[in-house]
Amino acid sequence: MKKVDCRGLACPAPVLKTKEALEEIEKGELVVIVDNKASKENVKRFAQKAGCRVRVEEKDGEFYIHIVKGEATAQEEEERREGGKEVAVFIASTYVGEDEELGKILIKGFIKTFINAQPLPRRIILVNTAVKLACRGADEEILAALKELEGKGVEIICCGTCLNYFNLLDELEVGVASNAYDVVQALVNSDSVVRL
Amino acid sequence: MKLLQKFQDDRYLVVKALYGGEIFIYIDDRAQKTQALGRLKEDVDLKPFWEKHVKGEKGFCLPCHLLLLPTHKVLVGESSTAELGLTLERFKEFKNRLKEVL
Repeated sequence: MKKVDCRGLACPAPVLKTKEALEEIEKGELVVIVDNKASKENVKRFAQKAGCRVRVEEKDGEFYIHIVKGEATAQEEEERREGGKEVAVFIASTYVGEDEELGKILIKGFIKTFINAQPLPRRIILVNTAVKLACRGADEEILAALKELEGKGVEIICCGTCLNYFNLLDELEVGVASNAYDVVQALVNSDSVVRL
Repeated sequence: MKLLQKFQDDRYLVVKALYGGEIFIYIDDRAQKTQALGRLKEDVDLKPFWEKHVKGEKGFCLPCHLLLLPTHKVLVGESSTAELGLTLERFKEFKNRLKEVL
């Protein structure tokens, strides 16, 4: 497995090195190592936009970005589209429904259950207080489920304005912080939107 | 082109400018010899980012954070480029105009 060590480099160098490394392989996995969160986000976004599957491991404040390019990704994309639809899940709160206590149990259950959905949702969009679900300090089972979904290729899109509002930009554990344009594009590019 | 914000030190030049009716952010890293241009969908005050950089906050990478802001961007290094929604041609045009106003 090819390793691209970008520790100590500032953007856009890690993204450019990732691009070069991806161009050198037809398919397979490479690991990009970066030493700060923003750099991790830039590399992750780039790889996801390039159609690769991305999984991130954090070890002692460093980020190991596992990027898979090639047939497996294309096959998974095919499987995901088997049902003929791209589904986006839109979540705007940390709980579902009117009763907060019950709603928190429900949202955990729904997010965990999405892992086994056929087909998987294409993307999960978190806005308003729901961005807290993807940040440090969130329910560990929810965080683990979101990470597993991301590992399966589901885009986790977090509203950047919301993260900024709650001062959580540096606390994002899973997914990418996006602007209003990306959120809207993600919604209009989906065949259907499920709102929790 | 109209300069909206400009920050500079020994390593970085960061510019926010209105160009062709749209807001762009330009980052030149002289130490690493990399540059980037991105188009902002919404106006963002770059001062808090620059202040964090000047304070030398641990783990804060100025260009890494700034590059998260634009969706469309072009990245330029010594040996490679990445056109992510903006072209290299646009980058060169912007840079030429920027030289005139700096």
